Amino acid sequence: MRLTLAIIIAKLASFFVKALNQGQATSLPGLLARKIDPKVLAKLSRKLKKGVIIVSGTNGKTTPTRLISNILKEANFSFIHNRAGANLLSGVTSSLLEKCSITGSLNQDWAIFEVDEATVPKVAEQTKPKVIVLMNLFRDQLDRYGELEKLANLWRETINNLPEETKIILNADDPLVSSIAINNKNIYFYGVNNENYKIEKIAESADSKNCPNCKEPLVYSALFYSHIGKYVCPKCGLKRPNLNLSAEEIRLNSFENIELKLRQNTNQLDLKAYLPGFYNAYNVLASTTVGLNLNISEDKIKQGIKNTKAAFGRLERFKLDNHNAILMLVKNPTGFNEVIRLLEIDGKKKKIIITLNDNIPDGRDISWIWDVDFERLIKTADYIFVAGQRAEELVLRLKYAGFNLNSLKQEKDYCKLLEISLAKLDNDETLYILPTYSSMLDLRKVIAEKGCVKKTWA
Amino acid sequence: MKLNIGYLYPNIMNIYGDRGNVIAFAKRCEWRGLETEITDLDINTTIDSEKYDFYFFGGGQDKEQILASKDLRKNKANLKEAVEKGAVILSVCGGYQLLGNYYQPLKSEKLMGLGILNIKTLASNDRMIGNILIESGLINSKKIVGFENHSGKTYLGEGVKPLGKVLKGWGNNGEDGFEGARYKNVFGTYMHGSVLPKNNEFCDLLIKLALKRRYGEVELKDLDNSAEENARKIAENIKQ
Repeated sequence: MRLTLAIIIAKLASFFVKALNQGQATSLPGLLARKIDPKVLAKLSRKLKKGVIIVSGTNGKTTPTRLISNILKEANFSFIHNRAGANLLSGVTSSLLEKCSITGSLNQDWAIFEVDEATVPKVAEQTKPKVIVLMNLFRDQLDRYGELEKLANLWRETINNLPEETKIILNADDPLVSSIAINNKNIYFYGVNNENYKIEKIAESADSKNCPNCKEPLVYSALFYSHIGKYVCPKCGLKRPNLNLSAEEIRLNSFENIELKLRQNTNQLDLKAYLPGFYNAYNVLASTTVGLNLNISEDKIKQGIKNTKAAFGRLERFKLDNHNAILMLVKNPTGFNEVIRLLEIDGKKKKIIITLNDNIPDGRDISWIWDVDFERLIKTADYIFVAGQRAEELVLRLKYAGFNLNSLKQEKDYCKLLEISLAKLDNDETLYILPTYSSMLDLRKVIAEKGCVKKTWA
Repeated sequence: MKLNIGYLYPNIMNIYGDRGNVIAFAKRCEWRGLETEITDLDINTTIDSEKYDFYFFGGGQDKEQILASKDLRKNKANLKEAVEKGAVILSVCGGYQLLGNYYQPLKSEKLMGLGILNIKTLASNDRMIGNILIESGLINSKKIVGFENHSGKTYLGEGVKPLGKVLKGWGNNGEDGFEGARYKNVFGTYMHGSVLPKNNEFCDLLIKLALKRRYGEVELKDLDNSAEENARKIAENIKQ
């Protein structure tokens, strides 16, 4: 009875939000329904034919969720997934409420949820997932999340409380994530064995250079980015666990795609993903591990991965007037540094727009830009345009990185910004746009509504 | 002229972009033709009390702070001597707390500090987060701006002056209306941001003090500070 009332209220709320043109109702229905029936998420997730898949990590929620969805689609499973960004308890609940009947029945096989790092314990407790994928922990908006260590501890507790049969899929290459593994659980590790892409030095933004157990500095035989790599602790012996699924070879093909040779025991899998950049190897590894664990055939996994296009703002490509543009969301030092690495891939100097906001989705604290390797970015940039609420701080960061401010233009009006940056481009030159989350939404709105530039999908 | 910069625990105490302070100090020296050398003072380093003109000590996460606290003990006498002889220290957040007498967590044992600043810090359940603006008599522009994020409440003892009066934000403890601490050339603050780049006058004050220690009074060349002023103006007017 309570559940039915909760569902009715949620559906009414959703109807009115949409009717009044107030958005997509991704959170409010769940929020209201949980007020009426706090167990609504638990009750509804039990109605799924197969169950729930949870994906979380600082950098790697939206893309792996999309990859897994496409694999499920190839395997003819029906599923529900929450919209990108609506990844708190209310958003997850709303996605089920949208699809359930008034009596609370659901016809879908799976629900796949991307979940905010700090919300994982609550969603896991209520939904008792069949599969949980934990990607990585980087420094990101610590003003909201508290410290990384605390998140890792929360995740460890979560794993400990999961039902025995839950398949727990962990990134072996992230010591903070791999060290939460508990012996008597179904743990599957994925990681990278190819050492072609290792870097020499730990980045300033790396968060976990010390052993999570004893705090001794870790020794890396291969470091891929931030604190991700093949590591061992010289004091307590903690080391990267053995891999259930490994990437033996990775080829990065410019801004186009990546090709991977994966290995599971003696079995080899060749895959291609239209998701450029080294870090996407991890997204492919994680989603392939999910597919294999659900007994989906290799062909279907491959096809699902091949079908996946870059998510909202993650290397999205389109045309602005007659120019190619590539949009790459930046939200924390590690992600930004990986974008910088990607910008170097073709060796060409670039014209780059960077926008910085300090709203809650961006992180109110903008100190993080001082951890970004702008000293490296300026070697790839021949002109930089800056905008956003905190554009002035970006100018300052670039000044202290040693960038020549004569090759920099600040313009807070997004229309003008696009006009002047497009005017600077040569005919066949691509414009690279690096916004923080809320400034990306502002920029999109301007592109869509004002029509100051003509946007088409590339 | 050359200044030696000692960067305390860059690998474990460098949360929230605090290294921007070292970048700013070094760049503003470089732009004036002053040479700098940055030395990482990591775990297990013995500090030469004579060598460094400017030390930077940033914030860290809980476990890292414990590690730093233990490691600091062997350098306690050296650092105290350096301070008494005029060395300049900027400490932020966790580093600030560790320069004090102690940090008292909610449940666990007291974490002993260096006792260079006569301050104590008590853990609390309040998370003091947001933009912060203070008024400080140290510099002509009178205002220093940053972003704070701490739950420790710091109380100043005798002989230590606050850095300034809180105009917006929490400051040392959210109770007495003051932020930061100063003793001789040792400065402590909860301000991230990074604090030095956009508070260029504060940065220049530290450079002057560091130069004075080694070379006596030195007049600093003027720099174009328009980018700094623009960034500071925006930060000053932002809501807490």
